[in-house]
Amino acid sequence: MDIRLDSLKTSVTGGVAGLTLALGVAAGTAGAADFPEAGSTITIVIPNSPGGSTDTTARLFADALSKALPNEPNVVVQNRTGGNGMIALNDVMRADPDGYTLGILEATTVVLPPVLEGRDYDPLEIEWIAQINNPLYLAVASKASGLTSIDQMAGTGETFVQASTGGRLDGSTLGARMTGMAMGFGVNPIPHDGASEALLAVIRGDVDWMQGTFPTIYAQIDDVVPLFTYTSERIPNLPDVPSVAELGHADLLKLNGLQLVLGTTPGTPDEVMAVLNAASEAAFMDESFREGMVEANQNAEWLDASETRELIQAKIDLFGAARDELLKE
Amino acid sequence: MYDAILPALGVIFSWPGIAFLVGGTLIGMVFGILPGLGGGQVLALLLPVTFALEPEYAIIMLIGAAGAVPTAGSVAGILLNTPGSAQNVATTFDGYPLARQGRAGYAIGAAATSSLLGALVGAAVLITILPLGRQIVLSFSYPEYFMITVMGLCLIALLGEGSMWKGVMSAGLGLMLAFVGADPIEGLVRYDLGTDYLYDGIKLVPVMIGLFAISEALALLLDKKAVAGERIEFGMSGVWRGSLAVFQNFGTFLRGSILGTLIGIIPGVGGAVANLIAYGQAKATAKDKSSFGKGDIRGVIAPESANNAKDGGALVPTLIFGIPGSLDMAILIGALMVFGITPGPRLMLDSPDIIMVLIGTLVFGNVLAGVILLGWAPYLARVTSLRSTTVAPVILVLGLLGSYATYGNFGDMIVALVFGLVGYFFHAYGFSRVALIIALVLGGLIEKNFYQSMLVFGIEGSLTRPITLGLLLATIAMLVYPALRASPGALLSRAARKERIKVSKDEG
Repeated sequence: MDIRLDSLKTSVTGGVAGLTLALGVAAGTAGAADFPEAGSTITIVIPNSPGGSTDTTARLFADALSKALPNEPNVVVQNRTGGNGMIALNDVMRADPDGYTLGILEATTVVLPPVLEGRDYDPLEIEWIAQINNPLYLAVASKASGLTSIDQMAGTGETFVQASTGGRLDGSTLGARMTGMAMGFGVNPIPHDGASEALLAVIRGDVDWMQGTFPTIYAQIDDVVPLFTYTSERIPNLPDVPSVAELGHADLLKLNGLQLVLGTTPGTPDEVMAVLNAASEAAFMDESFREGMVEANQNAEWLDASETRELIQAKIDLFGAARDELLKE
Repeated sequence: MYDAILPALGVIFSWPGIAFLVGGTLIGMVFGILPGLGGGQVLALLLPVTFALEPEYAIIMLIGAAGAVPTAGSVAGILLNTPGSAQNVATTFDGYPLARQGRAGYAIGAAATSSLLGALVGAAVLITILPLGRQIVLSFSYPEYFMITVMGLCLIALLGEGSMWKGVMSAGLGLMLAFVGADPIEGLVRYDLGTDYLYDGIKLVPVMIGLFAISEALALLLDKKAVAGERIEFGMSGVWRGSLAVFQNFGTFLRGSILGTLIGIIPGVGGAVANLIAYGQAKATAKDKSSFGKGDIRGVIAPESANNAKDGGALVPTLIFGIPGSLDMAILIGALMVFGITPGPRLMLDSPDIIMVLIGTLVFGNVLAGVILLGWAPYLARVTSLRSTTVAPVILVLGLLGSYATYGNFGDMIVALVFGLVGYFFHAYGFSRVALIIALVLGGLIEKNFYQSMLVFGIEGSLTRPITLGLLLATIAMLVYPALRASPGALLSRAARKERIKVSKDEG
């Protein structure tokens, strides 16, 4: 009998590999079947500090998710601020793919680093579960600017000073610049530490306009001039203010805004994903979650897993197409 | 608005309001004493708990805790040179030398009393100017913020620790460190050494803990002596003398409180700056400056009155515009919004009761914290008599835990250790740790405010704003006046000599 040594080696290795694979799958299935285990803890990582709208959303959602999951595990929120969202994102990307680490992230912040800076990760690799909050977003002008409607800006080609809520390459600033490009006016962003400082600059009249979320701006709405809302229809609170879709720029809806998306580690088993998807939808429908969101002036808006992927893909495509224009100067 | 005062007091002092006040204050004091943990952390911890409460009780607990932090934060600063939070840095400059002289009780007495009374001044100013707060907040724009931060930076010259050139070099290093991380304009990352950790820059808390606490632990271990020398005052008498000192230096106290309140009103400057500026002005306006930095009680009174008074001031932009002056206030706004209370111009009309509960809690929480601290002072002062081999490891552990606990980031512990060594060598070779920390606090603010000012107003537009111009003149006066007063003759003769040299050069 003529057995060649290396073929024997191959078959042995193959056998071992097959066995390992089988055991692995078996273990995986066993783990996934009782996901989440009784008494276990699921962590929701968020890139923001306590107190803001992401934190509020995450804490309300955590309570509802705990009730909606089998075995009612503890669901805790961990504030992992810093690195412009990268620290929280890394926590989610590098966790064990077992479904015990989730992230509530801001969609644009996840998309921009690979698209603009060439960071080495694919936003579509994350196992997206849902979009759970899409705070109403709107553009307002300062009273001192003399602007009373978007018609005085759109198509003029003039440049308007914008109180931006981050640096020039921050997602919100880029969104505003792309709005300017689409509507035909220039944007000169002045960076601020967050939306409330920017809003104060608008109220003082030091700048022409800004964009921000409804909860931040609405309490001061008498001191500013609303230009348009990033919605597909007019909103009841501001019946005289046009929606961006009405202005013919529905595409800008996907670019602007602070959509909060829920996702987990790449490679999480399908069985676990099925549990998480079902429980997240139940948590979203939970009365106490929805009431809490309304009280906190948030806008609970559901997109399922595939719609969330579409949103991420749209952001990648739109920002990617405008990349050179945005990085110019 | 003012007729809501009595019902608000009813809520605070009836059951269970009083329990939440006491509970919140005690928890806040514990967080204040532990280095690295402060208002932000205690509020974040209590926030989920308060969701289950009525809004009034939630506010009582949150404000009680946040208000107690700067009061208790003075303790570790005085006893162990470990400021409890960035708001207490300036307290260590004279508080720790006092502890080394065996007079920790005296220093804590003064700190507790000026904290308590400072909070009262802050609350009184808040109630008085709330109707005018809008105009005050709106009259400060980028150029004013910029000048305030420049003024803060110029304080380094007044602190006058040792050699001027070493002070300038220390401040220069602080500014360089302040520019690490994402720049405030483009958001481009500088000097990050390819790590995500440095994306946000060098954080203040771990640097502060390293420079002051860990370096002190190293020094104590190498000296092998107790914090205080042979003579140590025990008992309440020293504490009462500390309280009395606040009234004996009432001008210092009042100026510190008013400065603290004003800085609190301006969003984006905050508590870390308030205590330093208050210390600087106390030293600048003192007739005899020689004892500052060596254990002058005025150096404790000024920053401690300012850091508690600033909470009253910080509520002005928070309540009127919903714009937080600090992390604490940002979390408070978050808590209010969960209860459907949106801070803004309508809040004063819609829910004056909530505003009065808030202000009442600020007042009585601070009174409670001050009184508790006075009672604890004699026992706390005993820490200074422990052997350094006992105290130093405790400082090291608390310091490292504190630097980790702030953001839960391992890198912060490494930064604290590195700056522990830096602090040790700075101290040994006469470089200024204070100059470094002031520059680090202000560097980023100066950069951002300068860019905003230039872009929106330009040089001419910035300098022709009355408040900016006033602040600029005040800064120049602050820098020139001490030199003039110290030796007008010397300065004149130096100028005359320069003139002669110039003339001879021109002739040559």
